[in-house]
Amino acid sequence: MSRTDRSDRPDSTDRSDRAERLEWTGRSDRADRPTRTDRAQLILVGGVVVAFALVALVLLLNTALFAENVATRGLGPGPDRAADHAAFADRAAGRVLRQEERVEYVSWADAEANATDGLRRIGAAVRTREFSEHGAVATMEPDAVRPGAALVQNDTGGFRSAGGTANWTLADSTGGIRNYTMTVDADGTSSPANATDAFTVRIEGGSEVWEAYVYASGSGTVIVNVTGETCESDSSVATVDWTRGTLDGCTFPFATDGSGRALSGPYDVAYLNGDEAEGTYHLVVRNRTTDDVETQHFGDPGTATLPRRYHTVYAVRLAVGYEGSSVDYDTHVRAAPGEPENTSPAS
Amino acid sequence: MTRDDTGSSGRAFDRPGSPGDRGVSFTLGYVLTVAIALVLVTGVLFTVGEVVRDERDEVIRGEAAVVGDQTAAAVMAVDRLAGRDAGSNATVSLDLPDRLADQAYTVSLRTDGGDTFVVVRTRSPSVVVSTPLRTRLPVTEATVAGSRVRAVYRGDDGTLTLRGGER
Repeated sequence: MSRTDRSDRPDSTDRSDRAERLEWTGRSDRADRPTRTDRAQLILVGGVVVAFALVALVLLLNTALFAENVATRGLGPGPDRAADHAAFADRAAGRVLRQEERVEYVSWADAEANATDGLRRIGAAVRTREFSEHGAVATMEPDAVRPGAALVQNDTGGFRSAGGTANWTLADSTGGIRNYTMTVDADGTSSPANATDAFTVRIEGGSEVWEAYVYASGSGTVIVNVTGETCESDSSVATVDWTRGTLDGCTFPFATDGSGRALSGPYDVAYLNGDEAEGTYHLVVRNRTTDDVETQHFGDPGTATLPRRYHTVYAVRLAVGYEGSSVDYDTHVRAAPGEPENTSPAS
Repeated sequence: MTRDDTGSSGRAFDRPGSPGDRGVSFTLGYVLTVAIALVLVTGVLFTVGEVVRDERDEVIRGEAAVVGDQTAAAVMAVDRLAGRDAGSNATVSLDLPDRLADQAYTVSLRTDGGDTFVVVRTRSPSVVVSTPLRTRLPVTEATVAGSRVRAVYRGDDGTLTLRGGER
């Protein structure tokens, strides 16, 4: 009796086991019991293995999620901040040098000390800001300050030397020329039949010589003629940028080699027929030696003589460093505002 | 009479009374049941195993691609930073996963002709993912173990490369 009950019980709590339904020897207890035990084991083991597989799958998907998360993080702001810091140092040094140019320094020592102090003050401010805001150490330290001379005529007049010479050399074998601008007034400028008789700006770099003829047109404008290519001003007063080669938005090739790069130095700068035109000019030349500038043609620093020369900084080299959590960077930045593009810097 | 009792010869055969018939049928049925169950369960296990394996390969491939992209980005960041001045020194450190789906991996910087690649490689399963990149500065080939990877430029050497370990 009890045997029959035992065999019946699983039938009543049928687990929809297919094998169970196939059973037609219901009363054969002895054979039935071990069969069910075996089947249950098989399914149990299968279930456990599938469960483990599912856990493994979940772990894998979690890993994939982590990878996607890492993918969205990028490199962090470190490298960009380092690049920004170097670019800032470049701009700051350029501004300091432009500011320096406005001050007519009588001695080179004053010019150098002021530029160095200014850059050090900016460096200290940047260092404090970067450290407090981003926990990074940002440094900029003047590494080399190159002496220069500003040659200016800031009142309209003929392009003659201080002694009145019309054909004269401003600088001889100078290391560089930057920020060379000129205004030419058509009213005081001649318009000769032959361009070579006009006021001429002559730059010699290496073995190449470039000459630009500047003269007035019949309609009261100014024309710059370089090897046949001409640019005409919009009004009677023209602003010429000799380092960039532009006149009122018109560009002309000047002092470049065949591939458009700036001529390699040293450079000579000369004016020919200086009494054929009137205007102002400003340029900074790099002093490689003390006699680069033809000082006898200029008024001394601090005098009212025109044209006049005074001391300034030609270029500055900064040692720039940036050390953050993921980036470590040190480089050098050289600033010489208004220098022709593609100049190969003569240290 | 017996015929009447049983109704038909078929019923007499079906009835679970004949010991010889039961013995044969039961053994057959048992073996069949176990065999079918075994085949089914084995099939399920095999399929699940395949799915997990495929998924693992796919995950490793995906992670390797992410690691390759990050390393390439770091190398190009160093290229940009160091390109400013030939005497620059630049290092960008990366914090990458220790393992890819529990597999150790290596990160390499490789050049092939004029092309540069970051190659991420695991041994088992063998997965190789390469990410192309472009640099202006010359590159020195290097292979480092995963996790801590640094993209480095030293002005003295004049080349970009990868280094491992802490900085």
